[in-house]
Amino acid sequence: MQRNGARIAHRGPGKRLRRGLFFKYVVLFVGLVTAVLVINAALDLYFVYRDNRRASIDVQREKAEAAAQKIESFVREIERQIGWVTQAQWASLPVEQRRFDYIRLQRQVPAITELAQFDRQGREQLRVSRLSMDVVGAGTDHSADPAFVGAMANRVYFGPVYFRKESEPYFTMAVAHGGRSGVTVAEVNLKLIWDVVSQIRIGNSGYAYVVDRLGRLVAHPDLSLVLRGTDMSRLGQVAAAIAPQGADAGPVDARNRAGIPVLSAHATIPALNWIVFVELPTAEAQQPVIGAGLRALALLVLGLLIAGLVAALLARRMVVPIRAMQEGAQRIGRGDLGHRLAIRTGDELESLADQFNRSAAALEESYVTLEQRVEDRTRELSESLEQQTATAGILQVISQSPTDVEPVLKAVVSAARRFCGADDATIVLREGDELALANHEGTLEQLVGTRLPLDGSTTAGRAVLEGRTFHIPDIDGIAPGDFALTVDLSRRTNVRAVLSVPMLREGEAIGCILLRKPTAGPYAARQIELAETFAAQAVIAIQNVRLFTEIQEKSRQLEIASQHKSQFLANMSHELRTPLNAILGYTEMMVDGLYGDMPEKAQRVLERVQGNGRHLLGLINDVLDLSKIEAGQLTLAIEDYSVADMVATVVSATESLARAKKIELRTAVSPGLPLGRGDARRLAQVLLNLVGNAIKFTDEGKVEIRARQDGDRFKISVIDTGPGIAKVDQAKIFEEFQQVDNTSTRKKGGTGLGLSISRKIVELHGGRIFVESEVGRGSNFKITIPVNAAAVREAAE
Amino acid sequence: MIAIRHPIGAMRRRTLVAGIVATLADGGVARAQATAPTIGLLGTGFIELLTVAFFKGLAEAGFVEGRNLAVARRSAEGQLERLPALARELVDEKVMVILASGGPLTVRASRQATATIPIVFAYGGDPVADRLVTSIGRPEGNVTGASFMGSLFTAKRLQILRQLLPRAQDVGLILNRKTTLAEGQIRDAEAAVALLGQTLHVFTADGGEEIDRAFAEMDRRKIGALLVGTDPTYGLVFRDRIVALAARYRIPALYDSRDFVEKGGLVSYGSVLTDTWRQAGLYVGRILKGEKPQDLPVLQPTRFETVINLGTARALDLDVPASMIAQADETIE
Repeated sequence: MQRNGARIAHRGPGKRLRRGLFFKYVVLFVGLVTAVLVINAALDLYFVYRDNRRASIDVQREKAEAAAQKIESFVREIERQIGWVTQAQWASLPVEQRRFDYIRLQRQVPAITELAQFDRQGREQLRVSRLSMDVVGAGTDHSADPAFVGAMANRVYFGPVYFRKESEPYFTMAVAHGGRSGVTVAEVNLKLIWDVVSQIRIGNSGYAYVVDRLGRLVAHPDLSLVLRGTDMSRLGQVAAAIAPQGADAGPVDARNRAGIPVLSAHATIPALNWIVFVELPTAEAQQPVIGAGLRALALLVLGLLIAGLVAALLARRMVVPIRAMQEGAQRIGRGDLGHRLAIRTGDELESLADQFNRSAAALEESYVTLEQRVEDRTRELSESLEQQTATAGILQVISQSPTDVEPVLKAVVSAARRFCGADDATIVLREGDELALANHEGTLEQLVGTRLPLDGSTTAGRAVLEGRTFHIPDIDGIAPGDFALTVDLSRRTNVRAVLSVPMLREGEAIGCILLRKPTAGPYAARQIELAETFAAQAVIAIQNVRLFTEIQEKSRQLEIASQHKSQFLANMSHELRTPLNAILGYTEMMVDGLYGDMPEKAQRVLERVQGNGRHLLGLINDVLDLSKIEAGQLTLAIEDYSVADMVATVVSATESLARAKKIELRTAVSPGLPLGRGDARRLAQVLLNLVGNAIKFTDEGKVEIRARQDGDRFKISVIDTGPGIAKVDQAKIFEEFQQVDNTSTRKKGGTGLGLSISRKIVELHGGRIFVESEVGRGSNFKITIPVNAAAVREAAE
Repeated sequence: MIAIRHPIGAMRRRTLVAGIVATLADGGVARAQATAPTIGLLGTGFIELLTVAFFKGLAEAGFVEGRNLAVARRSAEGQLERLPALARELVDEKVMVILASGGPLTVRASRQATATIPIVFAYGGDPVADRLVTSIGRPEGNVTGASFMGSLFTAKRLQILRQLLPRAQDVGLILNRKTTLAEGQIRDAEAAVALLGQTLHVFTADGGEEIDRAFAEMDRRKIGALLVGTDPTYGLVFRDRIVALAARYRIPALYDSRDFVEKGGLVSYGSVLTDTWRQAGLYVGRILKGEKPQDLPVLQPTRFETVINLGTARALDLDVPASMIAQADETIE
């Protein structure tokens, strides 16, 4: 499917390209041939056209001259015929004779419609007409007629053309009689020139026509044009010819009345003042050119066909090998590197194909090498990855099994065997002067617990003793005597190559990993390195387990010691208090004089004994309390209590002290506080302790007790104006037997257990105690305890 | 005659396809027949001589009846009142051109029937004077044609008649007033006889019996020479009757065309009628090819001829002067 798609995608542009090259060749070739043929034809045509035009022009001019001559000779013939009646003595003939001559002349010359004879004075003697009655001796004076004047002067007169009944062209011709004895005037119907004009053949479709000096048509093959009195002067060629300066300009390109282009030539008949035009349609005049053009076109088409065929053949010859090459390139591109081109054209294409084949061969070779390299590298990478994974796996086993070394050793031998190319992997551990087989995986049958001597007779022994790796690629290569036991064992178990890697802890070997395989051959450096890594991991694991076991043992011992201490303190306090109570009792009785009066001196000593005894008792009580707390023996007696009552009790107990030191003792208890639930006696003890301390450490100023509710907690503060406590000391003062160590505190005395006990009591209630103080600015001890301490504790438990 | 020239492209094409055209020529004829145009012939009467000349002219223009031309003929046979109805018939037949032969009446009847169908006349009068066209050179409207101008040579004819019969004092002129050509000829004749010193006797006759009566009257008046006026009914319908009457009453007569003489008339002077009818045929052909009547000037006669029947002269015991014979274009025995 995908292959298919790829092929189609390849073929699309490929096909177009192939066509492109083919067509380029063909078009180039055909184009060249066309260009040559076209240029040739164009030049040919140009010369043909030029020659033809020149020839046509010459022919036209000749035809015009010839036509002019024909027409002139037509008129001259009439003149000659008239000349027949113009002998000098003719005029003196009898009138009937003259009339008869005129009639005969008319018969002879159909164009003459009317003849008139004037005598030398211009008087009309005779008039013979085809249309009207003959008139004899009319005697009318024609001496001023141009015809008479002209003929008398020049013997012959040709009058201008005129149109009878606006239709038929006529002209007057007059011929003087011999000896100037008169004039014969003839009205000539020019319609009859039609015979002459229509017989003038100009090519196939050319024609001649005659105009007078005014441009009016005198004769034309189409007689109706003449009869209509057509004015030809609108035509360019006629206008040019009749212009006063109208020289014989020769033929011109013009258009006839129908607007068809014609080649026009003209010639004048000077005697008649007429102009004869000869016109040939340009199309006909250029017929040879058109013929030549058609021939050239045919030649061009033929040339194109031949050129197309030849070009197609040549292009095929070129394109086929190129196509083969392209196809080959595509096959190679698709991965068929073994494909070779077979082009035997014996030219550059063949050499190109050969070059192509060489490139393909080189490509194929390098491709194979590359593939091999990639394969190797991939294998290395995957090996490396597996080894990493194995290493990481061992680490995982180590972390999962902190107390048992067995799974770790199991994992190590397994990994070592797998990745270090051994058939059998074994871990032996040093146990005194022996090596014990701790774990094993592989082909050799060995029992865990098997013991070997720790000496130079085995590679393992040497490795452990010397702390370095021993690598025996071939047992047979060992010098005789060395590693005797190893050689012996190997021979028995069919082992050929041995690797012993020591497991080093702080430079000391605690065992070794032993790798064996039945074939001779060295272990790779990487395998040895890996075995060393496994050895190190095994060491870590063993170490871990050992350390873990030790720590566990130590902490168990510590716990027991601590319990003993608390028990001891509790017992001790109890045991101390009993005799001390007896001492205090007797001392009091003595001071009270139950045993008789005592001297003053003894009295004072007794009082001091009593005072110190009481202090000692307080101290012992405190220690007892503390030890009870430590031993978990202190239990709270939960009951309802009133904060206000508690504060009042404390104030009344400490009032005298404050008064003695002249310190103001104030209380600020928020009204309406609810009843709390807790150990009222213990809490009062805490407050008393705090207030006592405050009074004790304050030399002047005041001590203030504040109490309020904040949510479900009471907040109680004891504020003094004492010396304050440095920041570093603030945490310590709540530890057992800690006092701020300075002269003023030592002077004040105290067990140093009060705050510690207070903290414990507050914490038993689920509350917190802390101090805010600055040196020289007094202190503010704050307690927060839940209103219902019992509920909090239950929730906590 | 100038032909319409082919433009270059057509010429080349013609050159190239000449062979193909040649092979298709038969088919082309067949097609022309299928779409052959119809022309109408309207006349006071027809004589074969002139009809043949007319069709000769048509053939010169490329039209042959039955091949590429259909012809509808309507002849009044001298009954002039029938002409308008006949003209309408031709128009109803949707003819493409009407040949109005023999006198202005046929032209007028045709012109009344249609203002669009081209009318080509062939007759013997002056078409301007007869108000058929406004100008000889540039006719207007849908009328043109050819005239042999027979009615214009009355004076010339009377002079020839006098030359032939110098002793004849009473000259007769027979005419048909109904064809409208009579007035001008009478006027011309009166002027001519005044010059020639003769007496003119005018006879008008528009039908066969009237012609008979006219000849009887001439015989009674001892008319020495007769001029038979130019008239379509005379020329086309009553020709033979007139010639026979002239022979019967032994009246030497001059006619306007040679066919009278060929049928036994004494002498004729005038233009060649067959020319006129041929030209009319040519014009009809040109109009069929697409030319317009107003582009075709009225054609006038060119050839004039004097024809003498010497046999008739002998029958009349007439001595024809040698000069007369010399000047005759043709003599018939």
